[in-house]
Amino acid sequence: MVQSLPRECLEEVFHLLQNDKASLHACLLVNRFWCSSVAPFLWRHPFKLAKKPCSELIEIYTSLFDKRVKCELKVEGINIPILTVPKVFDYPSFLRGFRFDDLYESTSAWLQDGYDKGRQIKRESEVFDDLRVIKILVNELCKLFFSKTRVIETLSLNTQRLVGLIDRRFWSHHPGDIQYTPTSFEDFRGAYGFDDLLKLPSYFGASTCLPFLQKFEYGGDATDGKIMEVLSMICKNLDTLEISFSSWQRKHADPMMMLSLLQAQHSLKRVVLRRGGSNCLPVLIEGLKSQANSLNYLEFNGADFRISVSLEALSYCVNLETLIFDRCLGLSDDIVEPLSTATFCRLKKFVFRKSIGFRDLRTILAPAGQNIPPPNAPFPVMPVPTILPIHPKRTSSLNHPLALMIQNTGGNLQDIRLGKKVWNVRRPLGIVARGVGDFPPPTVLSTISMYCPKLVVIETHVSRETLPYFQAVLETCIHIEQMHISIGTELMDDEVFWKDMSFRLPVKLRNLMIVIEGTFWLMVLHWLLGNCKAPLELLQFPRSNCIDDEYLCIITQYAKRIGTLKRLALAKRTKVTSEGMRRALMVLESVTKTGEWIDNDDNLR
Amino acid sequence: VKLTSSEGTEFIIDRKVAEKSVLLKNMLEDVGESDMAIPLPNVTGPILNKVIDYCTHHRDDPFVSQEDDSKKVSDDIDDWDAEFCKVDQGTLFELILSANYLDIKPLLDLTCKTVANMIKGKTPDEIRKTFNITNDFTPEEEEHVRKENEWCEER
Repeated sequence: MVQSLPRECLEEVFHLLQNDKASLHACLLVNRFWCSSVAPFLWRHPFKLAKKPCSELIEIYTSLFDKRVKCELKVEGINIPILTVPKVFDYPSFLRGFRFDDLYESTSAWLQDGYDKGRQIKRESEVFDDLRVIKILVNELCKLFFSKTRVIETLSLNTQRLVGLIDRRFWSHHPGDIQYTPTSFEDFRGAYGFDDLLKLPSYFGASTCLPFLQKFEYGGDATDGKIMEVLSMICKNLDTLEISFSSWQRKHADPMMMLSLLQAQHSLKRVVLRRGGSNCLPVLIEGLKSQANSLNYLEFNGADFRISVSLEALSYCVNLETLIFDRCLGLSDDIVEPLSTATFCRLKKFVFRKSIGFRDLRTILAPAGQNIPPPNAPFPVMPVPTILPIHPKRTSSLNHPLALMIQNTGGNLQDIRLGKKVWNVRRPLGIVARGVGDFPPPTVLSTISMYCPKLVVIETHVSRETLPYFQAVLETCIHIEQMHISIGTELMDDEVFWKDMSFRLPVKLRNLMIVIEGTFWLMVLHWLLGNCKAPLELLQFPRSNCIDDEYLCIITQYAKRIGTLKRLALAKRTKVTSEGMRRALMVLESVTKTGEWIDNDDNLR
Repeated sequence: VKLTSSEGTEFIIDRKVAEKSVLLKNMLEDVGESDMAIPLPNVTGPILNKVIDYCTHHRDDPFVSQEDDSKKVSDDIDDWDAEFCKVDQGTLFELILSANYLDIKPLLDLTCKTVANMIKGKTPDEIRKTFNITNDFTPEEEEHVRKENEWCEER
């Protein structure tokens, strides 16, 4: 019957299934008409669909190399048979995007397979240079893609992803013949010579398909940023630009190269900057002015603002719908001051999660009046501290820049995440805290309660000082469905606080996360859940190791009473026994002991 | 606004409802106010009735931008829409064709989502049975396609 649907309608259906590999594959085998309609969807982003290094894809693609390339590879010890039967489809012509690291990984896997099965790689080769051969293959694959496809929509040249797997990557197809074993990414970078990537735009067909590029990601300092300048000549229709800086990039990458790509765009909508510090952020932030009208999504992730960076250019981006500062360093009131005059009438989502580094921590922890040792002085060993406010009096300021910014959002904010207070011990930075010191100040919370009637998601720290303002938020923002809060130690055992919150929980609240560091009383759960009328579906205590079977029993009783709770997310080191879990699972759909519940959509909505 | 279905049945609807269809909206803008009925030779009366039901229910919905469109998934159908799509397969396909012809993107999305949901999780044979499709592959062809797409099979 569906056979009678024209191809364009059937394609609409396949478009909806574009991320569902199994269903697309089933459609492929229905009949000829379906097969020819669905194949382009399956081979659009095949590496993404495969989800892991996939040698079969490389097998198909390499079989389509022309004779000249196959002859050249034979000299290198790679044997790819000449095609006797043509492939059903010209698969590379369907490709719409790929990631360099996926291509590299899948090619590695293909060589590994070839070696294991005694195909492709000649075992008798005396010298087989892994890196050289992979590089030749990856380059030839890129040439094949560009020559066959009409349109490339997404491209990622983030070589940084190769870092995490560096030890595994330098596998040995042939344990006796390893020619080269790099010990660091720097080594690898030097040996691989990513400068080949600079030739991408000059490959046959690139000038036809790359102008359609919509999303580009750069990272890992593969070409010191030069590729961005090269691409700026032909890619002017980007919708999304993502740059992932790395620590070593600080000395290599040239921000002016990156700026050239940014400024070459006709109307960029999304910019994501991961990490990055003094040498690149000021240049790129200033460059955002060139996209001020079109930009609707801006994210800084792990960026370092401790050097002097002006955010003044952001206030030009009046059409922002999402503004994110996630785990950024040095976000002082002075740095965000320019946002106080910004008018983001369309802003729906605002994330402002601070981090503090090792250096900042010393300043915070130093007792008043004590001189802070110079940076090169040995750092005294100290236990993980209790949280102290940084500037106890400053919070009374009525005109915090973020409060002023929120006032100018036209009441459209639906999602505000101000960070939870969490102490982490991480290497190599040492102790890092998110949701720092006295943030958010009361004035920000009181502004939210007055200017954000459409709020659906809130994340914040609650302290004794900010409690009345937080209560005001609960009072006025009646549409809240997701609430992630950390609780100050001073409120942890406060019966009045918990009982009051139990009454005030928003009537539409479905997802509640409570972050409490350390042990809290069993009674707290009674106080919190005893009068709770919210239709909770997900309840999370991601940092509370103290939760054992008794605590779990109270939560289960609540779940029985309220009838809506489906999922419970507990800390990794919680003391719940398998018997306790078994009992809880008689009432709940799932109980996880992996910390925060990460939903694909980031929340329950 | 007056519309005439393929059999000549006349329907009178609000302009706001008619404008959910980009085809009609453009026509109305070009022609201006007129008493003349707009003929829709590709849409039968019962289907046009269903389409009008849909457009009336969603008359106040905001316009869906292309960007939101890219985020669409096939499992976010609300109750009214789900009920609306509880029709026989023939009607469902005629609705798809009409939504496509009249250029009503949200209705096309909804009906295609319904079909997509009917496909999800099924084997090729189950899909053929569901939609009464004949397999016209030769065994060799089928094997060929299967082999070249082995990477999709769950391992």
